[in-house]
Amino acid sequence: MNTRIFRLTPLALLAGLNLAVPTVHAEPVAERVLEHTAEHVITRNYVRLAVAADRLADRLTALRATPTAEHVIAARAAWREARAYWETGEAHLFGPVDTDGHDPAMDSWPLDRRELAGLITGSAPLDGAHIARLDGDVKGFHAIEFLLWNRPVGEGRESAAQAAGRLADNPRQRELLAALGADLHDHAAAMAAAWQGSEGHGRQLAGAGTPDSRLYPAVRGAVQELVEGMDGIADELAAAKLGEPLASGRLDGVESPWARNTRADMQHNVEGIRNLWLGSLDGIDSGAGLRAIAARQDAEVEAVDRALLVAAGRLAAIGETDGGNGRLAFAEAVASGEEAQQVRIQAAVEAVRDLQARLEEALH
Amino acid sequence: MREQSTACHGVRRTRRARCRAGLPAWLYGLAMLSLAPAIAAGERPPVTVDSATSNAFSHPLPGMNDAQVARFTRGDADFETPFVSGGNAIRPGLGPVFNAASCESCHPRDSRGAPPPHPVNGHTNLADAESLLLRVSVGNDPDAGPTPVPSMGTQLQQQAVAGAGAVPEANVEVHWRTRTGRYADGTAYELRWPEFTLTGLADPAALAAAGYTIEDIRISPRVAPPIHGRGYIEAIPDATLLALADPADADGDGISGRANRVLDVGSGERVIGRIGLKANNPSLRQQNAGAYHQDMGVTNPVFPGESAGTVNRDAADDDPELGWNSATGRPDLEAGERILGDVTFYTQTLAVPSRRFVDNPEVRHGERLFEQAGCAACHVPRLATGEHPEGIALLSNREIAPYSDFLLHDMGEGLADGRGDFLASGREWRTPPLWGIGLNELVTGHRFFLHDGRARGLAEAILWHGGEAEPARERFRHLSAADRDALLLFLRSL
Repeated sequence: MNTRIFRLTPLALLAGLNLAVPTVHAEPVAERVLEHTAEHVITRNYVRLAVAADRLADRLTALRATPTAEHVIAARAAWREARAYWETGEAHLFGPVDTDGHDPAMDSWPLDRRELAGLITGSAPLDGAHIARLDGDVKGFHAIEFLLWNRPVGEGRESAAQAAGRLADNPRQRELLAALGADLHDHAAAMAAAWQGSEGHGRQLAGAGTPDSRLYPAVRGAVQELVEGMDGIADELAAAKLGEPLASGRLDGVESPWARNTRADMQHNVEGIRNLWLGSLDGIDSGAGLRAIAARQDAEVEAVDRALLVAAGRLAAIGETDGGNGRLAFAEAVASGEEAQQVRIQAAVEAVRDLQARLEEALH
Repeated sequence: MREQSTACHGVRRTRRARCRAGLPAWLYGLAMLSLAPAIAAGERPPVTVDSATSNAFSHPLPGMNDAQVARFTRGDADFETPFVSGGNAIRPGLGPVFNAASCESCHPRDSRGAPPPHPVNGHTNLADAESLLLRVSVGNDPDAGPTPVPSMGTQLQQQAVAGAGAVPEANVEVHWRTRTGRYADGTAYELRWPEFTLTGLADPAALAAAGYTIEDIRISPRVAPPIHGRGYIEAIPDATLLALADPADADGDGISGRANRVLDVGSGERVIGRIGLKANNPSLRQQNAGAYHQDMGVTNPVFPGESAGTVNRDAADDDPELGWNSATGRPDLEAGERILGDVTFYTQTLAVPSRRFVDNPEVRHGERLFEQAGCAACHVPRLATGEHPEGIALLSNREIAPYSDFLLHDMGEGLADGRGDFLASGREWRTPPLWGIGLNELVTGHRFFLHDGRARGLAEAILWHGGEAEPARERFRHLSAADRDALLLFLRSL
């Protein structure tokens, strides 16, 4: 397992140094990893997302018909489940999610609250065709989140019963929620479909280095795509999701504030990195993740394993209070201005940066 | 109507600007460490980056120092960040009329945009376009440039800030046409092209008052091109371009490239144009300033006044000002020198991806066919840069492989837009560089090429070549299927 398989260029940067092209005997490992990752990690994650989005759409339709606390609770739970698959998928933000415009349609941030208010008070038909044409910043996860939870940090939480009451009084909000759920599902289903089948993006990645793949004529480029995917979300996590609010104390960059789901979002980002690393969606080393390609120095591989655990642990610790009773949401931790919370966020930034560096060492 | 939305007419479906700094500065530093021994030994950093992923067009030039990397990163963020309408706290200044809200929305991942969708039947509307705009004019003065359309200017903005009371300058319908043809071996092909019809002008009276009709408006559709490697183009000496030019076809090869001469807004001088699909801008600074001004409606140091025509003048006047700058005696600019300068630096220092499979026998065969067919007469494989005009050393005195002469060529009636632009006629286009073209589909997810995105793949793009390029196209059309594939494979290695 310690054999050196081949060296990847670190994120495309060793420009023009004519590094060795992967040798023929090395390719089976990388090919197996690509095949497995395309089907069992990425496509499977998108299928799970599509199923969860379908459930969310169903529950929002039920909520439209019957605005009860039970239906609010069920819809909120479905939102969190779909959100989890979306956030793990942020570790591979390339291909149809990007080129077919699903990312902005599903996960634009910040929300354009004024435009959203206009939609609710206006009279435009809230049908699928209209919603499909709307800007990303009035739909997707965060528009649904806003309509399900409704109160920002600092204004207390809206109970399910209160939300049900608000929605009962506002049929247009219910109408919009159901339409947004259907639109989100349309995008999730299209993305899953785009990765499947003989013409799908999954084949492009899995078939890298063969005539099956127009996009990845070399295995190395495809592996590098995965590495850049992991690095990209780790960088966004450290610089934007954690680093920016820490440095500025501002909350406008904090995603998922109404559902108090920010920390879970970030934990799922790290889980997405782990999924690619281990080649599985359930935390078990499949032997066909990027870890298998990197497995040339036990110390380097184990350093990544450890860095993943540390990053997950440090993210989980954000918001813990010294008394040990209760936990602040991420935005509350930022807003508290308490040094203890800033120290925890800073520790998480450092852990994610360390994870990036360990991945770099193991995969370059 | 105080609740009236401040958002826009039409539909803005931009790809999301992820906080995805091409790559983190610390990682760049790490990679540069590995270059350090070569650089210490007196070797210059490589011209290209070895990247064949969806980020291939987004890397900085190898070898930049810390200050340059920091500036690149700032410019990258500016390139991605959308402007919003006046009155908002962050990045106000969009509009009152505009085509898009950010650079990135038309140049996703620093690459090529796409044409409006092509429905099976019927037509689409330009409002559905994500990254195509229309340049317009009612004439052209070779010395002064295109003559503006009354109340519209030289570019049509199909989006407007509704909350400011602005209206889109026209409704534009897009109709797709097709025709068929055959390769010499009998294989059939189909070509398609879009036609644009202006309907519902916002200010028809202004047009009529000036003695024009809607038929007098010349339209030039432009899909946003990829932007990597553009800094090198600035550093090509005028003398090199003029040496390649052959305006009277003195050598009798049927190819008569010539340099455009355009207005340098800063100096007021006529200089050689090199940036833009008709080489209608002299520099990236002017190109970018024009894009802020026209594409986004964002005032800046080069173009400090709003771009809106008379019909939207009230909306422009109502655009909340950012403050008064007593030094200039003008309102503060929506994009000041910091933003324009950093974005310009960013576009100057985006690296070119390396070629792949250079030694593959079929690729080499295709390369020979490319030369034999005469493609390389305009798509000149190699050029040398001189001193970069702003002194960026990494761009200066380098050997580059753009596959372009950056000159204007008559491309025939099929590609003609009928709209002159300084010395460029309605049949002329600047040879686009081909470097990186083989990575286009990976980066953008599509295979649409040419100025309006009509070509569905590289073969169709070649088949559209006419005018000076007609003999080369005919040689391609007469190749065997295997040779055509080899030539296309060569292009995909770029």
